[in-house]
Amino acid sequence: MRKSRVIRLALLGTVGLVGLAGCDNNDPLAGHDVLRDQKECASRPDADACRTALADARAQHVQTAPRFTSREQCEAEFGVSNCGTPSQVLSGNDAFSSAALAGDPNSPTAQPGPQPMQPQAQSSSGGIFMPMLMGYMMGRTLGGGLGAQPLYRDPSNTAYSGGRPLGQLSANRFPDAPKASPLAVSRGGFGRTGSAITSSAGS
Amino acid sequence: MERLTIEPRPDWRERAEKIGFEFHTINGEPYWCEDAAYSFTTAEIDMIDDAAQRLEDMCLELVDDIIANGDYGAFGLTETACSLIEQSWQRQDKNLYGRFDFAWCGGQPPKLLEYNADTPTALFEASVVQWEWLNSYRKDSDQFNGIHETLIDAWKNFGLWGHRLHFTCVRDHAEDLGTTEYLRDTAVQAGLDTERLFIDEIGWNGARFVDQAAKPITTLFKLYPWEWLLQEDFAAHIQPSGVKLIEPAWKMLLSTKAILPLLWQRYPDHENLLPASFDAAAIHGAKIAKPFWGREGSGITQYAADGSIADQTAPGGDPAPDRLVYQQAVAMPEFDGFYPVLGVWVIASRACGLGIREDRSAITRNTSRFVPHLFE
Repeated sequence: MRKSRVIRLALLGTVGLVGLAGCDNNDPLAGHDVLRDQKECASRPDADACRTALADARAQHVQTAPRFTSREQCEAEFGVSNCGTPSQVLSGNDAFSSAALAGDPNSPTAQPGPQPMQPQAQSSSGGIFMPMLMGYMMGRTLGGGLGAQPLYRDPSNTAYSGGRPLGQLSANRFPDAPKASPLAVSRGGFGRTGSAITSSAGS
Repeated sequence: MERLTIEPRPDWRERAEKIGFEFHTINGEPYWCEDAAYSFTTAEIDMIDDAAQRLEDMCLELVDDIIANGDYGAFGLTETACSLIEQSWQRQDKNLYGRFDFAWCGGQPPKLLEYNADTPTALFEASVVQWEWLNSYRKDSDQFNGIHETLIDAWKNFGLWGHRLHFTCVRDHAEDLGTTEYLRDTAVQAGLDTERLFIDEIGWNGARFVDQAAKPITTLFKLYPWEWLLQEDFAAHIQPSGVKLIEPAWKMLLSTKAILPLLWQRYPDHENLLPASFDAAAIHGAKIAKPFWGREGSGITQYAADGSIADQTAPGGDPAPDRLVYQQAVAMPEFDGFYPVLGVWVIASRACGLGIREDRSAITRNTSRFVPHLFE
């Protein structure tokens, strides 16, 4: 009765490894300009339109970012310390710093200066939590004007716009992308017994 | 039940490695051995299949009783452990796998030596390697082996869609890593999102366990005994973190040898059980003393009928080597100078496969050889 069964392995063996190697050809942002912040508009010929588009996208960010009712849920998707309340994500690691805004009459009213997010270890719920902004993807609007979309990414380097995953970013896409300040994580609290015994933990 | 002496396939090493079997040789000694195979009749296979299924059902009833009565006295568990056990049972945390080890030579009912309910290994070789052997060696024979598909089905029923499942084991141990990666393989095939990390890489951020990418660990398969976890620095974080572990905490009750006397009390004279007690004097004749949390045949003392010590093994990583159970010695069946132990796998509490390890000594250790089986 079991003679016809065939065992397939997904990860193990020589067959399973094919196709798992990293592949940069599918970068979801390929063909788009990606800006980290408004300062980067200055070097563009369409600097003014660029600033306007980013300001719109930033407003859009608060409206369309994935929303969670607890910090835990948000962090489960976007990484520890990479989430905040709407006011935190606008003032935190977003690139609209007071310096960038100072000479920009088109900028929306903003909190003065970046306020580093306070890591919150304890459970926090009852509000709205959303991921920190990573940057903006530039494109053309239907009318032919310059448009921008807010971008997020999770710790596995998947890019999102709105709540929609765009795909895996290539590793070198944002080598210096702003990193959320990580919570103090301690490691090594498990494993002591096993390493002392140096035999199988199995039986 | 017969032991066949057979010719190993000349390319067995290449074949083993091609399917990802990295630990066919352990410490220079062959661990996977196909110079022999055990052969059964269909009726014999039905017998051990039924025995394992009966025992699994009895074990679940025993756990239900113990938790309903809060009767943890026999186990020597801490309050933390008892509270985790109750939480996991009330939350109905699912169990994945276990292995019942039997002494048997056919004929009389198989006798349970012990239940490896928390961190059993020798799974990949039972599920995949001996199946690959059967298909190339004796295609027209059959094998008691539905482990692979039962694992995939079990993962599908774990309620983990849309969640990430982490797998962990100790570092620098090919056998443990091989077992863990095989289980992860079956989870991937069930459509689950998985990550792996070594046990010492697990992080604690003050609220939750996290992996190296700082992603929360919400469900964790650990090839690492509960009694080790609970004596380590992060133990106190397990409950507040809400993490679900596989095996769940309630499996702690079944993974100690304390269940041997408790099963004997609850099901006296059951045909698949050997007399067992916490009291040495209650077991007559030759007997075996086993520590509660002994593993890989460690810390075992064999007493002859006159009370003298017949054999003894070195202690292992047992946190309480002086807590012992006594089990009546069973004449271990011998085949060509080898003592086989029949390990019947239960996946999600369903008996579904057999793996045999044999040793030149009557106490099976981690140096025992794995030999394939077939039935006609």
